[in-house]
Amino acid sequence: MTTQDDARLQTPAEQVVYANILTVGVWASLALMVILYCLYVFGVIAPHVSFDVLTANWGKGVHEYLQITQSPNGWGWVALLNKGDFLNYVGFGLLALMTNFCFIVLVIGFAKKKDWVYMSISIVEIVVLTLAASGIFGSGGH
Amino acid sequence: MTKENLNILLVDDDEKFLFSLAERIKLKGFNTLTATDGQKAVDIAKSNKIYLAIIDQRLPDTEGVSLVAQIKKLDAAVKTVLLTAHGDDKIESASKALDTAYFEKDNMGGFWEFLMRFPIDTINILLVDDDEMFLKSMADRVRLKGYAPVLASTGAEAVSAAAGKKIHVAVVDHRLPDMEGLQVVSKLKELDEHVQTVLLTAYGDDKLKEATAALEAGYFDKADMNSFWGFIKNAMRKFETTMAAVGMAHGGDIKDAMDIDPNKK
Amino acid sequence: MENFKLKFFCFAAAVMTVLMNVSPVLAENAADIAVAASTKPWWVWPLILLVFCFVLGVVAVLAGVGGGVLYVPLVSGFFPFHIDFVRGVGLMVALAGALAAGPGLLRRNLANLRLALPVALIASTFAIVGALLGLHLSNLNPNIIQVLLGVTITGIGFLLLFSKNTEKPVVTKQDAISMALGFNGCYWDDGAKEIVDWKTHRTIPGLLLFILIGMLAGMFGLGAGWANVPVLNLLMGAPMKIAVGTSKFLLSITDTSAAWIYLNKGCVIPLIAVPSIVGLMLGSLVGVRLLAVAKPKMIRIMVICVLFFAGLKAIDKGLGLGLLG
Repeated sequence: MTTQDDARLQTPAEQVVYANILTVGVWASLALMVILYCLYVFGVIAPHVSFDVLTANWGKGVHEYLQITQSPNGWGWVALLNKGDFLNYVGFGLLALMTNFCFIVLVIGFAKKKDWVYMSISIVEIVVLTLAASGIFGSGGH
Repeated sequence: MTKENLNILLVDDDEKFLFSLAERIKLKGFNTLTATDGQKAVDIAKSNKIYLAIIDQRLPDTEGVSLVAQIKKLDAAVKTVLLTAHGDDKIESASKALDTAYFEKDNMGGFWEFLMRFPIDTINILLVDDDEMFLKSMADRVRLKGYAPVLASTGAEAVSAAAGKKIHVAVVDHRLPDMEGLQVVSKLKELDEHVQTVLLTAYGDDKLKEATAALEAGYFDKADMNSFWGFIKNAMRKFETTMAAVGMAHGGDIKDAMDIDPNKK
Repeated sequence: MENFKLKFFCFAAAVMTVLMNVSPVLAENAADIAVAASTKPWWVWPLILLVFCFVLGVVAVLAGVGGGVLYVPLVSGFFPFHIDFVRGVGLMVALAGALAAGPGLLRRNLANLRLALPVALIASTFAIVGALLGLHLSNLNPNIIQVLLGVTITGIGFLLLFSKNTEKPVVTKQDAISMALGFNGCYWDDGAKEIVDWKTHRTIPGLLLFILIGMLAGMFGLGAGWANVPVLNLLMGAPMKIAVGTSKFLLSITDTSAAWIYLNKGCVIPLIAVPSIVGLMLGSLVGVRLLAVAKPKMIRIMVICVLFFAGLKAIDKGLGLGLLG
C-alpha cells in the first residue's frame, strides 16, 4: 500500500527537529566566527597575544605557550573577552554548544513519546558533553 | 487551550451521518458545530472560531472543495478534512482523519509544532499518479532534495490531501482514473491560489524524466527570491543540501553525494 | 590487474619523490621553523592556510576521504605550528564540517538518530579520555604523539586502500541489543525500485570498537569517518548509505566533547582556526560541483599515497631517524 510504505519511509519527527535547530545554530556560529575574526585581524579590537609573539611561539607546546603568553586556560578566557583574539572563543564555544542544545530538545521529545531508554541516553550524553565543557578534567596540569 | 474550547465544524447533508460523527467527536472531548449545507457552514464559521472543519465533498448548494476554500479565506489557520468516500467508508475515513497526526501533534504542544517548521518550513510536494511505481520513485527523489512528498493515486485523494495540508507544489499526471489532471489542477488552485502546479504529459520513463526536470528546475525556489527572507531561506536550503552531499562524499559514498546535489547546469 | 598494480607503484613512488624534494619546510627542525616563521609577516599565515585548506577541502570531497584526516598530518607537516595546536584546530575543523552536514543528512533520513545516539555516547566519552591522554603524552614528549600519529595515519591509508564497503550487507539475525534499541529502518532503492529494510548485528563488538575510535579521534584530532563507516557497515551490517550518513552525524557529537578539552586547554588558536574552517568549507562546496567531472578513483589513490607519505614522515620525525629528509 502506497500510504503505508510512505509512512515507513518518512523521517522521524525528532530528526527533523534536530536538523532544524542545528541549521540555525550552524549559520549563527559561522557568521559570528567570521565577524569576530574580522574584528581581530583588522585590528578593531586589540588582542591579548600580539601577532608577533604568537608567530614566534606557536611552534612550542601548549603549556610553554600559555606560560609565555600569560594566557589562561579552562574558562579563564571569559575574563579576556574584551581582547580581539579571545573574543573569537565565543564563536568556537557556540559551535561546541550546539550539540548540547539539540540534545536538550531531544530529551523533551523522547519524554513525550515515553521512550525512556533514549531519553536516558540523551541525558547521559548531555552530562558527558557538559563535563567536557566544564574543564574539570584538569586545566593545564603540569 | 483545553479540548472543550476547540470547535469542530461538521458539514454534510446526510443528517444521520452528521449525528453519528458528532457523537464520536463529543466522546473525544471536543465541541461540535453542525451544518447541512455550505451557506449554513459559512455562517457558523463567521461567528465562531473553528479549529477543524470536516466537510463532505457533495453538498446541496456547493462543492466541498469550494466550501473549504471559503472557510480558509475566513481563517487561514483552520484545519480541514475533505470526505470523498461514500456510505460506511465515509465514516471510517472521517474517524481515521480524527485519529491522525493533527491531534497527536497538538498533544505535543505548540512548541514542538513550532520546532518542526522552524526556521524554514518543509516544502510539501503533492504527487498525483495512479502508477504506484512512479509515485514511489518520485517520492524518493523529492525526499532526497529535502522536501516532503505527499502521495495520491486519484484526483479525489489529491484534493483531499490538499485540503488538509499546505501544498507548495503539485505534480499531476494528465490522466487519472477518476478525472482529468487538468481538473485536479484547477481544484487545487481553488484551494490555494499560490500552489505551483506541473502537469505531466509524457509516458513511462519520459514521465519520470519530465517530473524530475520540473523538480530540478525548482521554480518554487526562485519564486521566493523576491523577498529578502525568501532569499535567505533559499540560501540556507542550498547550503544544507550541499553540505549533506559533502558529508556523504567524505564517507566515500560519491554516488549518493551526487544524487543529493546533482549540480546539473 | 598486474599492469594496474605496476602503474600504481610507479605513480606512488613518483609522488613521494616530488613531495620530498619540493617541501623544504618538512626537512627543517624546530628552531629553523621558528626563524622562517618570524621572517614572514603574521598575516601571510592565515592567507596561506585559507588557500591550503581550500585545496584540501576540494580534494577531500573528490577523494572521498574526510577533511579531518588530511588536515592534521598535512598541516603539521607543512606548517610551523606545534602538533598541540594542529590537533586542536583540526578537531574544530572536523566538528564544523560534521555540524554543517548534520541537518541535511538527518532530514533525508540518511543519518539514523537511533543508531547514532548510543554509539555516540560511547565514542564521545572515550574521546575525552583520548584527548586528555594525548595532551599528557605530548607534554611529556611530543615525539611520542608524532610516532603514534604516523602509525595511525599509515594504518588509515591501508584501511582506505583495502576496505570495500558493502552497499547492502546481509544480516541474518539481529542481536538482542540491536533489537531492543531499534537499530533498524528502511530506505527506497530507486535502482531496484523497492524498499530496502535493514537491521544491524554484532552490537557489542561494534560498541567496543567505538571505544577505540573515540580515543583515537580525541588523541589525534582526526575526524573518525574512516573508522565509523567500516565498523557500521562491514561489522554491524548497516547499509552503506546509512553507515556513511550516520557516521558523519555521529562525528559531530564525538568531536564536540574532544573539542571542548582542547578548547579549555588553550589549544585552539583563533588566527589559525577560522581560516582553516572557512577554507575547508568553501573548498568542500566547490568540490561537490566538481564531482561529476573529476576522476574520483585517481584522486583517491593520490590522496592515499600522500597519507602514506605523511604517516611515514611523521614516524620518521618522531623517531628522529631523518630517513625521509
